[in-house]
Parts: sequence; structure tokens; C-alpha cells
Amino acid sequence: MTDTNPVLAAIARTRRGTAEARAAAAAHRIAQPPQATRLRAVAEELAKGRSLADVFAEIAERAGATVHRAASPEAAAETLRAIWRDKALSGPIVRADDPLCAACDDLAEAHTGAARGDEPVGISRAAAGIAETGSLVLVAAAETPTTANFLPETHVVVLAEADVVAAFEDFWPTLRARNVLPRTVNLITGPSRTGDIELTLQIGVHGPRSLHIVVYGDGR
Amino acid sequence: MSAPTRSHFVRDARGALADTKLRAALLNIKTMFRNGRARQVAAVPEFEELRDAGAALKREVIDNLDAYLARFAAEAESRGAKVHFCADAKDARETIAAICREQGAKLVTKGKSMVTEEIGLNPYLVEQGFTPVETDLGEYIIQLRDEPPSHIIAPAVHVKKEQVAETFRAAHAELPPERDLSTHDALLAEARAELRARFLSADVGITGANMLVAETGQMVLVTNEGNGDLTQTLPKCHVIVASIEKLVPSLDDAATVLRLLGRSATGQHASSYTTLSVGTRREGEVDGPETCHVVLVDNGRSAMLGTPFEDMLRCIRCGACINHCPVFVNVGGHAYGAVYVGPMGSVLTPLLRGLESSAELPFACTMCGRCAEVCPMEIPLPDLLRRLRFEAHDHAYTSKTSRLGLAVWTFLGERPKLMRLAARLGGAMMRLPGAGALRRWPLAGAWTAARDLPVPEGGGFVARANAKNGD
Ligand code: SF4
Repeated sequence: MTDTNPVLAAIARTRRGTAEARAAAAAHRIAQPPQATRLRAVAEELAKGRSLADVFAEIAERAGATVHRAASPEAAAETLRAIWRDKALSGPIVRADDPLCAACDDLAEAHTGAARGDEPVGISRAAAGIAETGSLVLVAAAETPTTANFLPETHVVVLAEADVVAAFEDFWPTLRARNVLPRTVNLITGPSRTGDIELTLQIGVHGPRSLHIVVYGDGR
Repeated sequence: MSAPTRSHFVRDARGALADTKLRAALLNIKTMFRNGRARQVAAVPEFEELRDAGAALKREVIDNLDAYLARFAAEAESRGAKVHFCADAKDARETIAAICREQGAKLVTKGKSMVTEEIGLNPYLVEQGFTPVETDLGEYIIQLRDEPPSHIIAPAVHVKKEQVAETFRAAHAELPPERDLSTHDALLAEARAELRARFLSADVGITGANMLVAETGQMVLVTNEGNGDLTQTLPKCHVIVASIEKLVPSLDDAATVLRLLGRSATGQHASSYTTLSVGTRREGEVDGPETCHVVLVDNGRSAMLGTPFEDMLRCIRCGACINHCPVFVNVGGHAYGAVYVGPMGSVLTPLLRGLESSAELPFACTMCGRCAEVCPMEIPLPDLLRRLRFEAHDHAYTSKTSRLGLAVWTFLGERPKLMRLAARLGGAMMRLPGAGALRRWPLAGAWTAARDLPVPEGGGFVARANAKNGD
């Protein structure tokens, strides 16, 4: 590709060393990135005896998400139903193909698969949570389609405490370990927002207007 | 709106300074972006270490740029993307239009992308019979107003909400004319509804990329609105347009850049949506594009390599230098007559478009140095601007008067005795009774037009230094 590609050839003419040496240097750097630049603040919070889930919850709320804690999967299902009642939500629901995300199925019409755009509520399962930024990690799959993360006005996401990691770098190994890299990985931090009119913060422009996160423990 | 082709900074800045509406709108930058960044940086004591790491990883990419690009392309293609290398703007425009044609596209949704502004994509797509619709709220507003963006992060920062309402009334003629558009909420709801229909019916979605990860072939897109995600997920074809310096080596490096980007740009610890995506929907997945193209744009960048301006290729387009520039916050973006504005723009525009059409830009700077202090990539912006000033002078792109002034100064500077004599004479003249503060100073009219030169007290520097040394 290097020889026939005029852009790469133009770059190569200005670079030091041989093309082989540069390829080797890049391959080495990719395989062994330098020590991560993770923020010390997370470690400091953990040293105070707080859990990753605690730190995650605090920072996610700072970004405008509402975090609900539940002790067990059963309690998480109850929490989902409580959110439905308290927020007076109505269907249809687009939900992940996951037993926990089915908790509201008797309350409204619910379907799995891609979102159509007419569902006011999406219920998703997060693959992970990043404590450093309070971000949910949602990975595209047949069970967890990407459109459900963006089309509904209210997005409810369930996350197991055990899936909360400290930093981005702690999630990458999970991603690298997959045989097939998913098409899309969404890191979601709070609801949709904009400052495009007079730099005034407004919530809910194209994506969800509200983000509820149910973080649940294993009940032990 | 096609990309502006020539800057008339002095003329346009004068107009901008007289525009009270514009200046009121620009005040928001100080309160929102500057204060936001200051708060975030104060909360991260190791921010300087992060900047060092960010600059280092970009230096590494630039040193081995061809290798990283080749690796990125191979990884992306192995996951279903088609990668196109485009030498210039024309090449890129034609490549993108050909993809749209192949898709039988009519409606094309777009996420915010500065490089598509740079290559003049929208007017070309219109000319070719397609309907491009900007979906970032700010970009949508300026597209309807047929204006260029005035800030790389907040493209409509110069527009007041009353003007947005007027624009929406004119554009959304099918809606009841008596509707209330007096609040931010009403404007937001209307834009949401209008654009939702476009998202769902678009044939091709075009987005930029904040980063390209060589390790995995993924692109990283950072937005707050979610428009970039709807743009890249709903249509059957996703086109990513990115300039060649967007590479980062690995996912770990992407994390470092993410830690710097939101804090520097909008004062957020993280933007709402950070998306890593590559190629086409995988087997079994039920949404996402069926075709994916990556259009890599050189358009003048490889020519910066191996020159003192290579440092500029580290730029991650965060806009911090713009927000902290005392010139920008007074005149706004349109005075620059270019897609890229503020300090980063005054360096990039002459390099990408040619110094001749941008010769005033390197002088739109007070050399205060704030931009370099806040730049997360440690780009020495004032040094680069100074170099461009030299080049503008050497090519005689500057005014005759300023060149004559500098020639006189150089002549004196190279002749110490004459210089001392001139300084003594000048000082004596300035102290003549009735002279007062100097309103006009020969050959420096532009400088004294807005400032009074104070009358010096006592002898000049050389005279005082000599007296002190007992000379
Ligand atoms: S030059 Fe630096 S501060 Fe300015 S936009 Fe680029 S990275 Fe940000």
C-alpha cells in the first residue's frame, strides 16, 4: 500500500528512518502503550473505603444521570418498576434481550431488537461502568442494539456492581479479548445535552432527555 | 456555505467590534468555557502530566505517521470498512459524492465535522443533487442561516436566541406561524422534532472523528447531543471523514486524549457520548450501517511534516486556545474569514490555504501566550504565529508602512551609536513642553491608533545601564 498510495508516500518522504523501522516502532508502541495516565482521584476515593460503585454513582450523578442503588437483581427489578411508576412512564418499550430488562413487560408493550423510534422508553443493560467518569459502557449486540440507547426519550440502564471498573484502561482488555470487535461501543455519561444556543446548557436535544441507572449488587 | 477563501481580518474585526449583539454573545465564552475549564483543571492536580502524555503520544504518531495510518487502514478494512486516502479537498469531495451516488442517496445527515467544512463538502453535495442536513444543533442553525461556523466547538456562538427563532420561523414554514419560540426549550423541542424525521429517513450519514485508533481501526466520536450517534447508526451507510493527523496508537492512548479533551473543550470531565465504532454491523447485530467508508484527508498536512509547523499536527481541535484568546473573544470567529479561527486557526489557515490569502491572521494576536498555556497538546502557538509573521514579512505580504518601519528599526539596531543618538533625540522630543502622551508615532500608526505612547522619564535603557555600571 505504501508504494502505490500517494498520501503515504508523501508522508514517508519527510520521515526519518526506513519504512520498516517505522512500522516496527508503531507495532511495538501499540502492543506496549506507556503506563496509563489514570487519574489519582479514583484511587484516593477507594482508599477512603468507598466502593467503585459508590464513586461511579457520584460522578454519574454529577453528569446529570439519576442513579438508583439496589442490593440484588430482584431488588433491581423492583427498582425498575418503581421508576416506571414514579416517572409515570408509558410504552412502548424497546428493551435489551435480558431477563432483568423485562421487569416492566407487564406494564406496557415491550419489544427487543432495534428501536423503531416510536418508543418513549428504552431499557438497556450495560456491559460495564467506568467509575472515573461515571460512564456506562454499552456494547452493540443482537441482545443490546445501539439504537435503543439514542432514540427513546427516557433511557433506563441496568448495571451490575461487579461490572464497574475504575478507568477506561480497565475495560479495554475485555474488548480486546473478544474474537469479534463489536461495531459500536457507546460510553454514555449523563443525558443528551447541548450548549449551542447562547452556550446555555439544555438537556435532551437528540438523544434521551433523562438517564436512569440502576446499579445492583449480588444480594450477598 | 462554502469555505471562506480569503481573510480581511483588519476590515472584518472593525465591523465585529462595532456589533454589540455579537459582543454580548461572545461574553458567554468567558463565563461558560473558560470558567468550566478552570474548574475541571483545578480538580485534576496531575493535569500537567496528562498534557505531557498527550503531547508525547501525538509526537509518536507524527514520527511514524505512515506506519500508523497503514495499520489503522488494515484494521478498519478487516472489520468491513473501506478506507480512502485523499490527497486534497477536491479528491475528498469527489470520493464522498461517489459513495453517496453509489448508495442512491438523496438525504444525507451530517454530524459536526470541521474537516468537511474545510473541504467545502456541503455546497459540493448540493451541486451534485444531494441534500445534506447538519444535525448538530449549532451547525443546523448556521446551515439554515447560510453562515460559516464561528467557533470549532460552538459553531453558532455568535447567534442570539431571538435570531435562532427568526431563522426557525423562516425555515420551518409548515409549522403554525403564531407558535411561541421565545424560550430555549421551545427552540430545542422544535429542532429535535424537525431533525428526528431526517435522522430516520437519511440514506447516508457522514460524521467526523475525534480520533482514529490504529490498534483496532476504530474511530472515536465525542458529542454531547447524540446526533453523531443517530447519524452513524440509522442510515444504511456511514461515511467517516477525518484528517490524517487524528491517529492515536492504542485504546490506552485514546483514554489519555479523552481525559484532556472534554476538560479543555467545554469544561466537562467527559462529554455525554463517546463512541468507538468500526466498519459494518456484525453478524447477528440488528442495527448499525451495512456499508462503512473512511475518507482520510491530507489536504496540506503532509506538507507540514518536517517543517517547524509539524507541531500543529498535534491539535485535537478542543478550542481551548480560542476560548482564552483576548482577540477572539472580542471579535468572534467570522472576522478570521476562515473555517479554523482563533490562535489555532491563525496558524492552520495560512498553512492549509496559503499565507497570501491569510497574511493578516498571524498578526491577529497580542502574543499574550495564554493559548500555549492552556493547549492540552502543548503546541507553541505564539512561536508558530511569530514564524508566520516572519514569512509574511519575507514574502512582502505585510503593509509597506510596517515593512518600512521595521527596516528603519533594523538599520538602527545594527548601528549602536546611531541608535543611542536616535534614542536620545527621540526622548528629548517627547519631553518637549506640550507634547504630552504621544498620540501618533511615525510608522506605527496602527499601534498608536488605539493606544497612547507614554512619555519616557529619564534617559533611555542604555544610558541608565551605563550610569549604574559607573561607566
Ligand atoms: S491548538 Fe491546542 S488548544 Fe487550540 S484547539 Fe488545538 S489542541 Fe486545542
